[in-house]
Amino acid sequence: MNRNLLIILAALVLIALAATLPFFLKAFYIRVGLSIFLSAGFAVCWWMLAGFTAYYSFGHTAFVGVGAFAAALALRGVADAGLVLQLTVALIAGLGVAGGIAAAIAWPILRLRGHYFTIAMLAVALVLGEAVSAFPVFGGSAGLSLPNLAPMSVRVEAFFYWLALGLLALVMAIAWAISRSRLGYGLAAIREDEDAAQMLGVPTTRFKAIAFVLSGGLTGALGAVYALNLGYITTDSVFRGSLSLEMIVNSLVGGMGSLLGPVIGAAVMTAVTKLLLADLLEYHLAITGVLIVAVVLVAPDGIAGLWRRRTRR
Amino acid sequence: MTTLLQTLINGLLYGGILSIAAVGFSLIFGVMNVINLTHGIFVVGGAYGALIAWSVLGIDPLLSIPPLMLIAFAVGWILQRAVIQPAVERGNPVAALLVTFGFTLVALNLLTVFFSSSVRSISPSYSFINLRLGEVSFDLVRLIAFGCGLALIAILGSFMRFSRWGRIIRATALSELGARLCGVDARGVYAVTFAVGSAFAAASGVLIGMMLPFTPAEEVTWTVYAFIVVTLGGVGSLGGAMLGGVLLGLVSALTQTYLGGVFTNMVMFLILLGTLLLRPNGILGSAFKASR
Amino acid sequence: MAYRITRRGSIKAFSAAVGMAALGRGGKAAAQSQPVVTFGGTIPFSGRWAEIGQSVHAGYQTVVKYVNEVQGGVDIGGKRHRLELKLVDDASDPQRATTLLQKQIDDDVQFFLGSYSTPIILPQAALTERARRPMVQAGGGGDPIFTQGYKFVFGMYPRASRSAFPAVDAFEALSPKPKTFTVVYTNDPFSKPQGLGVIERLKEKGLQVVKTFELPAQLQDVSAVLTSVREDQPDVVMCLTSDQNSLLIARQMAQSRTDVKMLFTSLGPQAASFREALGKYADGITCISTWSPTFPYSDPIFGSTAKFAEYYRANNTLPLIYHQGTAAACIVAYVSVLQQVGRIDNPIAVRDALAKLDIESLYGRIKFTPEGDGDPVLMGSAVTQVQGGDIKVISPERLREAPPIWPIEPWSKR
Repeated sequence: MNRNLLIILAALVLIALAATLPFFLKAFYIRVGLSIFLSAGFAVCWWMLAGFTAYYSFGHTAFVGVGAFAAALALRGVADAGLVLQLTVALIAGLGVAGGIAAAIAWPILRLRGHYFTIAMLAVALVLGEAVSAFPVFGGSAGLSLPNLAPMSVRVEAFFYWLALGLLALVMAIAWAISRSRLGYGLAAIREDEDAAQMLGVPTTRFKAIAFVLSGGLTGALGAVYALNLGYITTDSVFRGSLSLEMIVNSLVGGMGSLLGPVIGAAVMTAVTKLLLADLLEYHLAITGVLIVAVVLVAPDGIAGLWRRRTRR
Repeated sequence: MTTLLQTLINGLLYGGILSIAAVGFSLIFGVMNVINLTHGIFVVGGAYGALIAWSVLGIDPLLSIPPLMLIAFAVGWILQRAVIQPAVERGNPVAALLVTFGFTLVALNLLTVFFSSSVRSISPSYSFINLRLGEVSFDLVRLIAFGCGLALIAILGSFMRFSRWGRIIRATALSELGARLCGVDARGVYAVTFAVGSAFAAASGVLIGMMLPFTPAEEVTWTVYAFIVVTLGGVGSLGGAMLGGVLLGLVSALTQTYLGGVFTNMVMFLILLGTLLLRPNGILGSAFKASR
Repeated sequence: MAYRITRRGSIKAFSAAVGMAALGRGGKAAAQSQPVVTFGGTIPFSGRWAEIGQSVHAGYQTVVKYVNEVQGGVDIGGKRHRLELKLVDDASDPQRATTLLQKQIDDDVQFFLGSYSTPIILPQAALTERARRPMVQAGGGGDPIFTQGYKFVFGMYPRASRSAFPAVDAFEALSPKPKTFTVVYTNDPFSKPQGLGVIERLKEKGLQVVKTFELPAQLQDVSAVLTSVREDQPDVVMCLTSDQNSLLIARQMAQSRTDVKMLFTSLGPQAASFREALGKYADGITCISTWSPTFPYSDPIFGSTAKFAEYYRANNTLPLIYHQGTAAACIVAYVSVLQQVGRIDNPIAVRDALAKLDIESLYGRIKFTPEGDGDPVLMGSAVTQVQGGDIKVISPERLREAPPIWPIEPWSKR
């Protein structure tokens, strides 16, 4: 009990510290911070499913895209409302629609195992991406604009920084709560041996579905913020294979074994690609590729894993 | 009626392209249970190889297939041995996937730097010849590509069926432990399998380069199409790759004519999803690993 | 493996490499005595728009190099200033593009150039608008950029929905006048508004639109379109498609011997590689060219379009297409305006001067609409046609280099 309290306190302190940064940093660094929080948020959401159950989804960009478009379309209906209402509508739309879709496909798709699940999620992302483009009602091909929801008195990048930080904290809190709950233990059992878990009475289908819906819905909420930050989205900007891959890479680089892994991974990868590689114009794709290979071969448990191995000596 | 017939012919020929492209992928997925994200880049690499052979050395693309296959074989072998096998042995199921993605990024970058993202096309003299059979027309190039593709698949099929290596590969796919107990060097087998898969991917790339304009970024498309074809037709089955490809080609052509061009991709992806949900083994598949 | 790669060893080496990369980036040569005007922005050097990005960059670079090396700088407010480009790679990713642009705004860069593609430029424009710094761009023509009420963004083209009007006008002027049209466009933020705009214009002019096709952004096969063209036999097939899709359509048309009296593909034939890929089948295809090095304009920096082309070719290997011209025009516009304003620290005055700008340059007349896009008549594209393996301007009259080939030779006869 004591340890849990310590963790919560430490987390609150860190969040408070992070929240003060926009008063000291220049806008560019605030934006980098914002990028990190969004990437970390996506990675944690993905990890909520993969880290606990070992169901590796290759199509989480579907939820980002769905959340983004749901928010954009919902905002059209409340164009004249107050900023707070608009923001709430956007978040709820993102969370609700993405979560809803996750709930709708949960049962059939979670019956698949291993690589089949992975590819199926990719297929879901592809289908949804195409649908958004193909049917004019979604506006994916021409693109949709989103209003600027930052209040006049606040700097835009600081506003989104805090919003993203808040959501990241929420998502991490949920993941942490899961890990401490019966649901979490059940999911871990599924990861170790799903058939055995089922035989031992763990309600595997229900638990998997809960994790899946939470993972998808929260990704959708983050997707809404991602879209608001961009201001204008097309199918290609939110239904991107590279978004799915980033979530996986970030989690792996940081370490799949703990909640901090995806966060650390996202921070490291964002810093490297945005800060260091910004100048290496022509070769940054290749360097990123080499980095990924290096991490997988040299540090398969990620940075967090390395740390743990160190402290065990 | 003519429209329907023409649509079916178009679909068949296009389907041939899709089958050819999926062959190498099917082998690797079926035998090694690795999602090979480098597939598309070998396809595109083959196309660029043929481009150089044709535009710089004046060699007909069809003749450049054997040497390009050898090069792809070598690259694939080294890649598997040095990078993919160690990744798989690290235990993490997505390790191989990520590592193949990493390699693809590097190769993509190099191709873009070297060739630029200009749209290219290989157009030997017979590219524009058209054949007519009554009211229906077809391109000679597509017919030739279809024929070559069939030949490639037949070669691979007989290799797998009748050769010693083919038997060893199949045995290892069915049971790695069992094969090892019989003295098979499993690692060597995987390296050869990957190399063979890459070689065929490159060969298909040459044929595709003759029919469709390409850029380095196309590699994503071909990897995804390979997924769909293999899933639909059945993992680990070459006949499945052919069937899957042809079916997909027909669906694509029919959708384009009767539903509208914008829906073709969506329908193809729906088929992928549907197959996975209803019959993950695919039509002719005999998956080597359990799917659920 | 002959030796073991130890975990520890690799991690150490890796961290060292990363550290050195970070350090090495720091020291860049400084110490210049002339004051400098910096133009900031991002360019897609990698990703989807890499090739175009490189051409755009070459265009900017050529003007800057010429001004600095041949002219010794530009005279602003009585002092000679050097021009400097501060452009970073956005990898064709809008998120990355906005973050990197923000850094430059923080670093007090006053004047911005454009990246390429509407989804990147639109969010960037929001940033520069808020920072009240001008952006002159030649990469985004999507209508949304110019309908937000932005005052600080200027585009060298008319907006997407109007961009293909010159083609419609050119076809209307053909004799005998074509009557039936089939329009093909793809489902993306540029092609679609372009296509819809063309359909409107055709209807306004009383020309019949027989069929329209909306195709996916990445085409693999257009047999359905060709079958329909064979059945309906329109006089003109207009494809508002990007290079790769245009090439596919043209190839399949030629291969299947689907004869038309006129084939128009908005993007594609401008590039030599396109014409080479089609060989003799490229002849007769029309496209729009916002600019061609053969245009007969005079220019305040180079003297004339031809002199720009000459200087470009002497210093670059990348083939000279319209991207370099439109990019160069951005810098020419800035220089002209900066000279008018007389100082480099007043972005608002620069913006006001851009809004009123009306000069002739290597690109043609530069004059923006009140919304910031190019004036549709004065800055509208020329229509070009492939003739004998080269592209020649066939419309408007004042720029015409050769009479249009109409109807074009059927594929089967070539």
